[in-house]
Amino acid sequence: MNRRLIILTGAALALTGICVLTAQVPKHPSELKFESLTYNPPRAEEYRITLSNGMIVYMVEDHSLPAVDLQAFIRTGSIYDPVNKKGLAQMTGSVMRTGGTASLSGDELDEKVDFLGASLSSTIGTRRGSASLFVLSKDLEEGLELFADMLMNPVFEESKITLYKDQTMENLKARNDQPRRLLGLEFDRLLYGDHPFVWETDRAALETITRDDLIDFHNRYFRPNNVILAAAGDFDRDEMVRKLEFVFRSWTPEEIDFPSLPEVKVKNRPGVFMVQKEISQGYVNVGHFGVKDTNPDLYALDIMNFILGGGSFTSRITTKVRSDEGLAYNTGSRFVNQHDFPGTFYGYVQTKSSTVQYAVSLILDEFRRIRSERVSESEMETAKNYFLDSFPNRFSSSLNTMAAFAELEYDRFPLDYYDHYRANIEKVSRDEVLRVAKKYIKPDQMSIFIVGDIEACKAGSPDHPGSLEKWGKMTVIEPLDPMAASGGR
Amino acid sequence: MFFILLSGARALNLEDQVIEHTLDNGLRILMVERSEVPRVVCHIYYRVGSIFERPGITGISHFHEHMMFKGTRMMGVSDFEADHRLNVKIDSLMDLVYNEKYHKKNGDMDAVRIWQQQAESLMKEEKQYIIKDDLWETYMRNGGTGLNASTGKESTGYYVTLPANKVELQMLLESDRMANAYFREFYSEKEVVREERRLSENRPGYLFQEQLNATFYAASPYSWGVIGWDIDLQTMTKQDMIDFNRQYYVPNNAVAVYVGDIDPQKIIRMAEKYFGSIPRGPEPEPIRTLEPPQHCEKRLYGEAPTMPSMTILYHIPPAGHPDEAVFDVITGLLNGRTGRLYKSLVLEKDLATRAQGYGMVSAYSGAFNFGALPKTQGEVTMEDLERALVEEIDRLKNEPVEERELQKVKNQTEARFIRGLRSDYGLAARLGRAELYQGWRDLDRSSERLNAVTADDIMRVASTYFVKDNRTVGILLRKETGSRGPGQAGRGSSR
Repeated sequence: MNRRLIILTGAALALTGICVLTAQVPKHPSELKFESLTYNPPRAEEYRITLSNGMIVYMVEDHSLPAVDLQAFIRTGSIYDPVNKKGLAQMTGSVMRTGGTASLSGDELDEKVDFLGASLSSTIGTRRGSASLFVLSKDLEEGLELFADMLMNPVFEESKITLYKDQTMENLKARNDQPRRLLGLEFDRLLYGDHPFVWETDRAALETITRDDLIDFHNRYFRPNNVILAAAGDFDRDEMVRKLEFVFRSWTPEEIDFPSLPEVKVKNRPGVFMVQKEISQGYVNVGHFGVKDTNPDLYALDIMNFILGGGSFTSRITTKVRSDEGLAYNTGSRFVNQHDFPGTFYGYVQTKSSTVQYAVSLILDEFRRIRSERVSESEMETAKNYFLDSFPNRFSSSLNTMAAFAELEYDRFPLDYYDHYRANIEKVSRDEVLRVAKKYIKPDQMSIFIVGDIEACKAGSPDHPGSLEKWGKMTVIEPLDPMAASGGR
Repeated sequence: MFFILLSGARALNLEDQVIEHTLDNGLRILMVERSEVPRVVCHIYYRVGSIFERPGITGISHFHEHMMFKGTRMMGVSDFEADHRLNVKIDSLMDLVYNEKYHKKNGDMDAVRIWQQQAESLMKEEKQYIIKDDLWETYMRNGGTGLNASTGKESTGYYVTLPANKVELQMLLESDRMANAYFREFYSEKEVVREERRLSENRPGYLFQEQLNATFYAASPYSWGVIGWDIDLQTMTKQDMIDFNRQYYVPNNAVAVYVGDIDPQKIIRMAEKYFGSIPRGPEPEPIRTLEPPQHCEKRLYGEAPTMPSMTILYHIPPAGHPDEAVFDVITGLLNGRTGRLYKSLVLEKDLATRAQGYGMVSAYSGAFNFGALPKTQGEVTMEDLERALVEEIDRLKNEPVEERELQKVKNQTEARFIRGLRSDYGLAARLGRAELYQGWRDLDRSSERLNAVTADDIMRVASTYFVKDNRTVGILLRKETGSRGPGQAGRGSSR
């Protein structure tokens, strides 16, 4: 035997020996004792600078990999689409990236980005535009030039507009194919009605929108004073500031005139609503209007919904509908909060047609239960610990951290939001949870929205008799057909 | 006023970052130290998945993964002995039910009903002993995030990210369920899995893809999906589950990965303490049936209420074959906005709205998948689309790739590798899965292999594998359902 091997074996034995002496394996997790751990989150203002053109930047050096990430948030969105040009914002965001710049054609830009192994993107969503760059630090200068060029000087080539329209037309044809997506779109449309927040593009709008519309939309919102940038990676901070000043030097700030938005008429729509689809399950949302993300009750609501149906297997709805009854793979409840509008609250389940009625009744039972009695001490402890202990997760990468700060500023939250987050969670009491459950969940106001085979869902099962009609008037909804000549509503 | 979040540069090869350790019972442990936040990504992977199944128990790997959340002697139960006594009774009744219902020609359905009712009342009685979703709740109560599990064809993983001071909790719970899984609530969970399958079935196009896959593989266990066939899910028994568990959930068939704010020596000591006492199991059976040569082209036509699409599949060799890197380069040549398929089918010929081609290298039997969605506004036929795809495939065989195009693919691969090192979660997953087959060090060699690929290699490989007798063509057309939908404006409604 060679000597080295013997020594290794000896060491291994010694190690095992120590373990045998101390290895009292606990009989239950409750016996484990953990060392204490303190964590202080990074503070937004320490990373914040303003460029001379008014652009706000959150930046941090991170030399762990030879790469740089940028993410820009631009204050705009499809909520500002004109009524006869629904889809304009989205098209602008997409063709900005593909349609070339004043100095490079779209194809040339693509070639450059791909040859660097970089990634460059741009999109405009409902209430936010965003653009991002990933580039190896050795190519930083070239990457920054391309990023700035796309943001400042897009030319929206006609051929790429046509391509975008063709591709979008195919997507419109598929709008109602996937039951899950169809449910989400139609549920929101039921509640928000004809409001820019839920507008979708359609054939008529696609045919109407011109290159000039894209140029105007871009001009109106893409100004440095309307951009918040997050930057992290392998750069020197001072040098990066100089580089950003340089590439954005010709971009001039301008006052932006945001169109005023119509109020959302907050009127719940109690009743049963169905969209016919020949499938074996019902896809169901049960809910009504929710809250804005500036609501002071948000901490209590987060904890309440975690216990109700947001905490996956720890939550009451999942335990009841999935674990106990085996009725569904996906079930729970959520608050979708919005910033400028009230959001939505709903319970959800997808279950075979014959058990739709039963599964919905179980969800409604849980809605009523959380409004009628305080949650248990143990549920409260689990929920709070989860929020407190998982808090550092949002700072798990330097880019995530900078983006989290940029988003705070975008939504006009105080920059010290994260300094107080844990204290705000700790403050929530069981009484508070009961109060917000009573205030924000209204079982008699629920829209029960089902995408599925109507007759089969209505028939139910002999094991769980009952009818859908007991929850109110039943309305069959004809889903939006974006390809129809008239186009939408 | 400015802070630098991180100091030391991370090595660009994994060799310098990964610390490994193997316990006497064969459990491998991989560790990477990183300290952005006081959190640790904790994953455990088993070398098991749907390719280890056989006809009759397809879908069991995934169903078993669900059952791993149902407790042990320690977790999920208030009185193990009482619960166990009930389970023995429930299982024997359900065995009678299954035997009568599924395996007899003219089973006695009245008897089935009675046994089933008896079993159900015992299941109700059992509820008093069950602590619901105990493991999940315990993780969450301790700040566990990224909590999940997933089953693939070749591997199964269990994931949680915990505060740095609580890794011991993962050691306790994972060693406990590796050694002592107890499958209570088997029958209701089976219904959850069947609902999961229904979710897939209700995604239009899924059933066609499932059939296409089954057509493409004549013999190898890659021919069924991870979710399994519904009839197998229905007839699967508790005993099947127990046998499966004993065979594959052994320490010598697993890899534990820890990435984050760790002290590797502490991790090793903890692993010895918690996993060390689990006995090594017999080595699981190797996969025997590899895919035989195809010998003739196969074509499959179908309809579904969704976008039409075209797929062309070719068999390629398994991972570890000298041509593996060539397929990676071909994948790079074909995809993205400057990839050949998008340029040719979408931009130049205006036939498709999307087009892609990628190699799926697997442990035992790979596939190269070409796919395109035709432009349906206008006169494009599936024949046009197939011709255009095949032209691009032939170009790979006949035309040497230009230096710059090849360099582009190599640059992209290098950047992608670096990008992949950013996320702790992603790194843990890559290390764990690689370690189950070719070993984690293989990840470091992949870019080197790729850099060696030449224009001649691409022509040789394309000519060898992308041939007619080695392919399966799938053509999916839109099925008109009768109800009014987009694109059918004015055709009236069935209601």
